[in-house]
Amino acid sequence: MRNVIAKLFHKSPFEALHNHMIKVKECSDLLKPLIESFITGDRKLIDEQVKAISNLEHKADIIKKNIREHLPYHLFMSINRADILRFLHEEDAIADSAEDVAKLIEMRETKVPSGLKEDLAELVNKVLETVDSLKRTTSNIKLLSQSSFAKKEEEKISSLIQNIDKKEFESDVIQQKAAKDLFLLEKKIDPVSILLLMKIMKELGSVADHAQNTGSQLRCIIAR
Amino acid sequence: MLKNPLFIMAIAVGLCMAINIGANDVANAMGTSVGARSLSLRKAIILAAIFSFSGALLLGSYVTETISKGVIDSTYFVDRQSFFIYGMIAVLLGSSIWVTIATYLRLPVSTTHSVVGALIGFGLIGGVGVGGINWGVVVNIVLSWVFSPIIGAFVSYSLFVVVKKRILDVSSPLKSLKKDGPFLMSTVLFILSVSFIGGCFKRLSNNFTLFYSIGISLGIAIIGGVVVHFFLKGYSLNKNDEYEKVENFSKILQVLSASYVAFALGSNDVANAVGPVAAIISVLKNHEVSRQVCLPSWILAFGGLGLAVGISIWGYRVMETIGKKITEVTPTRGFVAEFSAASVVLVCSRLGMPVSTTHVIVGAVIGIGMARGVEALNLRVIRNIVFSWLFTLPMTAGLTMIVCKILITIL
Repeated sequence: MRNVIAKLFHKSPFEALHNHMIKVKECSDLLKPLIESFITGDRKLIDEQVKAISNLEHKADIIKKNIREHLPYHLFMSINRADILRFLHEEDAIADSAEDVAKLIEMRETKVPSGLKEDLAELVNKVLETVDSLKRTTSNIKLLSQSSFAKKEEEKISSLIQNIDKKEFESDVIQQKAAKDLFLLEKKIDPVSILLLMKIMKELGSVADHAQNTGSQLRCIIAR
Repeated sequence: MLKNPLFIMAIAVGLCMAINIGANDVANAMGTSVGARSLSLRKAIILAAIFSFSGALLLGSYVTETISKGVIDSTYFVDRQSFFIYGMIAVLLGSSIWVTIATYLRLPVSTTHSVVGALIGFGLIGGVGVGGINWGVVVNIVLSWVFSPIIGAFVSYSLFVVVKKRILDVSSPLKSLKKDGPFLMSTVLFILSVSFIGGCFKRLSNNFTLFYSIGISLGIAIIGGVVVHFFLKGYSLNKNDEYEKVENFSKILQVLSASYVAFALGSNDVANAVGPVAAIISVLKNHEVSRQVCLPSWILAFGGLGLAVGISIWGYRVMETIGKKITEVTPTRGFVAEFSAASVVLVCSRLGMPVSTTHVIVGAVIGIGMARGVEALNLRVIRNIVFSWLFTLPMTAGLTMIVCKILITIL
């Protein structure tokens, strides 16, 4: 049976992209309970949560591979193929960084000094807020294509992207403050703990960084 | 004549070809309606059958004349009537066989192109030589194959840009739909009824056709516009699902354009099956091979019936597959694609150019893609279409020559 028309329409990658975002969000959202148990020092809980994060990161990876495999060169899309792939790469990096945070926490039994507990909790909240505003932005892509890239929808996404930038900036500020607080305690803690805590905070910050980069990539997509 | 085995054979192979056309071309043309969920499969089949039949009957004559007298000069066969009849049967058989093979191989061949190739094959074996074939007509036809998808793309691109500018890319799509929806509906209804009623008058009498059909069509268009105006008034201005409301309205437009596409298709494609049959009957009846073949309505009706049968028995499956596979197309896009394709096919058909409906609709969909209306299109299909252009002529020509040789040896 010949079916030119059925063949002509290629499956849109938008739905899969949305599914990828959902998985990435699920994965990074687990950072909050993980940091909480890191603060209380519950090793058993930490092990479980790290495993769950790894698992979700792997699932996001599978979706990513699937999208890549189904975007051959001869596709003609409303969004540039390279832009989609770069977007996907950055979005996936969010989950990768979340997993790195988890690995760092699991790697060594590090005690969180009481002066840093509040900072850490605040930092993870702001980082997750950044990811959340990214998710709210990407869920508008469907509208963008429904309206065939109407200016109204583009502007809406644009302002949502600015919101991501704002959140990322705020998380940077918190991260800087946390680092300062950590070095205030440098006499009381062993150097290895300091090294590890620094690394954890930096990696948490890159979760927000990647969320911001994903948003910027979306900006390129709109600005075609 | 009715007991003549050649007559029965001609009717049989003509029917076979018509069924093939109905199954493939019609199903392809209306597939986006099923894909966009504007029409259920069953309704799509019924509409397709009714409108392709009426299209064949009312507007079918234009292309049929071109096919039977254009490609080969039939006066070469004045002294060889029976050979001419075998040849025409071979033309139908050869193209039917090729369409069936291509269907099996999933090559998007055009039934129109197949018949033209078969006629060339017949011309070559019939001893008219290369010079006996009217290459000017062939070149025209080949050009129209290349240009018809491009024109289809251009028309649908323009139409979609208008729809986008007026309805989608505004601060409130629903508000502009309320304003522009009636005009859009009127325009669609007007074009549809002009072609439909114009065809009716053409069959009945030759006087005042244009005047009457435009008058009646205007009336229908105005009534339709007013009805739509009041219908749209009932839509509440809820901010959340404006695009969906627009798409919902487009479903009505798409049902209309699907009927239009089936109508255009019937008028365009019936010639492929019926042209050679008409030529055979004319020879059997008048015992001479003439340049012009008169096409009685019953032959067109018979062709239309074949189309309808093809749609119901095999087009069902084609449409089902298309409908399941393309879920990304929305009613606005489907409407634009089908409406543009049908308009291009009808105009080409009036001008006597046998174009492939399937290829025009592929062009129309790509046109919408160029306006960023579709998320992802697989352009490899174009490569397949070009292959089918390259293969169809030599394959059907060759097949027809073989079939013709066999027929002459047997009979």
